[in-house]
Amino acid sequence: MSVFRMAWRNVWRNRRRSLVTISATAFALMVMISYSGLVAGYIAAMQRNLLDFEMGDVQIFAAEYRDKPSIYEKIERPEELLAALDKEGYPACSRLLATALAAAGDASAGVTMRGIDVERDAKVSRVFEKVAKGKWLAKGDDKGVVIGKRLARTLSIGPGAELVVLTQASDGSTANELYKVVGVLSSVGGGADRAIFMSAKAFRELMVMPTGAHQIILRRAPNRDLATAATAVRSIAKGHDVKTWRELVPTLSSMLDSARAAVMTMSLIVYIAIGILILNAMLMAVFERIRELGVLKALGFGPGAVMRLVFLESGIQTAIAVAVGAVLAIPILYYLSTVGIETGRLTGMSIAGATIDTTWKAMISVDTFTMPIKTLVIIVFIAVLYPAIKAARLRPVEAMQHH
Amino acid sequence: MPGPNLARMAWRNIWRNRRRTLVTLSSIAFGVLLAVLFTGLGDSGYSNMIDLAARMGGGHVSLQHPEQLLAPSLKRTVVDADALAEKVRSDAGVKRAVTRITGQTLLATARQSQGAVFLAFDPKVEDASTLAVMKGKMEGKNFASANSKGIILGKKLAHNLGVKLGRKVVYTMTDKNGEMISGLARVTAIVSTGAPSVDASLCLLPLDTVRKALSYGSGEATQVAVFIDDQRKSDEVAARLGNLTEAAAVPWHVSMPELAGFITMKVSGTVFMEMIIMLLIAAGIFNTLFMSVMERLREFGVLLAIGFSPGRLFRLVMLESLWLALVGLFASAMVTAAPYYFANTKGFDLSAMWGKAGGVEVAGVALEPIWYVDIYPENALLIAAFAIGATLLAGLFPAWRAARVAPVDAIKLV
Repeated sequence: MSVFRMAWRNVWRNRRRSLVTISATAFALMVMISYSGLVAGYIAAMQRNLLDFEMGDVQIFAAEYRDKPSIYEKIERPEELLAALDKEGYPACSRLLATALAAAGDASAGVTMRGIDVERDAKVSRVFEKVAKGKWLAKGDDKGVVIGKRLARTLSIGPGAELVVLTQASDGSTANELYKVVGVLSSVGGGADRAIFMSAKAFRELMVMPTGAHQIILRRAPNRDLATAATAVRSIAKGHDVKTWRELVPTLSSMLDSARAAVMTMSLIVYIAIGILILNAMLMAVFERIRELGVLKALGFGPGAVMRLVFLESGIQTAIAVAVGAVLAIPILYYLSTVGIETGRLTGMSIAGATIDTTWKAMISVDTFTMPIKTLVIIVFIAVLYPAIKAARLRPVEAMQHH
Repeated sequence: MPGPNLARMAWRNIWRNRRRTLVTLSSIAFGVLLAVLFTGLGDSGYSNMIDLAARMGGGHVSLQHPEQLLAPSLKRTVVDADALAEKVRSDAGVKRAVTRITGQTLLATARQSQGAVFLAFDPKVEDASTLAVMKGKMEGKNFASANSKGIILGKKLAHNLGVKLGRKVVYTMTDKNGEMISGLARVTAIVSTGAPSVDASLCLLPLDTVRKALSYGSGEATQVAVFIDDQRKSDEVAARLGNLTEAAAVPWHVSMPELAGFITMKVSGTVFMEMIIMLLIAAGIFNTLFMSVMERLREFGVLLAIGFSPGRLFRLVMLESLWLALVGLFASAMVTAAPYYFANTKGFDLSAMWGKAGGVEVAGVALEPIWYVDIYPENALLIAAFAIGATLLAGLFPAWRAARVAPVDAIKLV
């Protein structure tokens, strides 16, 4: 009789015990697969929110700007850089930045103004999709502005309200202008929540700044990774400060990376509970068969063969559990990735500058399945080691006399 | 009917297969250890986060104009704030109560202007235990009095404005009547807290100077920040204080819903994980108990034949699982003591989890790099109760199976 067949039959000699072991293992695996899918989805969504709505992949500044943000530290000829980037296939846009005091009614707040080229900006940033109330900036409307969520709350205003902006223009004079709020964004995170978006033309008039820009945001061309894109952009924008999003928000970047480690830790803990369960089940399975294993050895089974038998028995149970757990995880993941979990009052909460979506959806990749399965197999192997060695080291004569 | 002592029999029974019992006990101990550490980490960690948030913002409970929360404005004040703070201090649950003015301002130098959040406080009344910023690294000096003409800037804010100690800054804000007013202040200190959003946007001003500038009355302010000993009592204290005044008593979780949401999410995640681990451990206990019943069917048949009732057999097996639970708890205490002591005194360095670069903020509150484990006693009791409950639950079916044994058939079993 083949060892496999023997092992298969042994597994089903105590059906209930094997079934409890298998279902507990399958359940744990199912939970861990769903969990890893959820974490992957959460990380991807945070990164997407950050890049699509706020940061882009790479940003270019004048050499001194990030050290000392001021309207005077500007990129002198953004048009030339944009043209060069266009040629290389990087979607890019320039932005004008300044701080100001915004007032509406009797409330006022410090804000960041962002002057954008409405048409070009849409190729790089999808922030226009985040309009919660009213509408996005229309091309040619230089009196309309869109404001961030927190700013709207601080000033308690919405679309249709009038907004006074007070600041210092680049010629040193007091700049002071009345705008009309056309839209309010939902939470984007970062600076956008306290920002005023306006057309570049309106910005230039207000700040008396006919040329230049403060920031160029660009996306990487398809099928080019971040490092390649950064190198290419650096050679185009010599003499400027070129930074990838990872360099701009290092904390968030490393936090997103360490999320994988968090999944590993969690699965390790859950699997240790499973490991103990399997250890006990296999110990029982070995000890109630001491006589029988002694007979096998007397018949010529070597220690290696006995060990293989125990491993096979546990391997069969684990294989069934993996199949069942993975299959059960599919509908759960399907639900989590299509419908998702409502985040309720967490919506718009920021963690290290990135925001959480209204619905939290799982993301499925091969990794979602392989990582939890791999960890499980390793833990099971370690748990079975002791019973297997115990069985392998039985002395035939003593074992056969065991009662 | 008199007979052998059931508890004693059960005790002996669990030690008949020592190895199996020891593995079962270790699984209980492992589960309890994890649950205690994780729960304790959250209990102390989130409590610290809330306390820090309270010290960065408006206290555990903020007394303010009822409309201030939804439509913050320097126009919406508490007229008798100083008197109210005095009254509030007599409440037994209140540790500190301080009056403040907070709002938005535009800071300007000859070349630069920058929006900022200002907090005006009385340097004689407040220190680091009510104002977390004071704990940061400070270059320069705190205000001499509430009338001083100074301003304290966050480090990044000062950098962005391009000012150094002793330089002048103009602040502009809207006063009580909705008029724009400006004031001149000299930078007396530059503070670095390590929280990026604070360092880039917060400035401190002397309370009485701002009162004058905004044409407030002498005891008037936008907020009375109330600090209490145990953040879990925030609601209770808020309800009590709300009765004392016309102003709204706003607990921290209402003024900082994002932080409250984050903590709720994290705590429910921990509870969910603990439940799953408990379920798995209970499955393991079920397996061993059931095995031990199935291998003793003959014995149970004999017990029935000599006059045991099925009910007593049921109780016997349930007592066995109770012993397992109790010894398991004892083992848990042994196993948990040392790691708990370590985690309670030395703490865990979680900075790797928050990212190596440091300065991580959740909903505007900086995360501490070192987290200590300090469990609330009632949560420890809850974990113990769950451990006993789960073990007893796992014993139910095996006990029922034992009670169903038919004596004659069972004795015939080989």
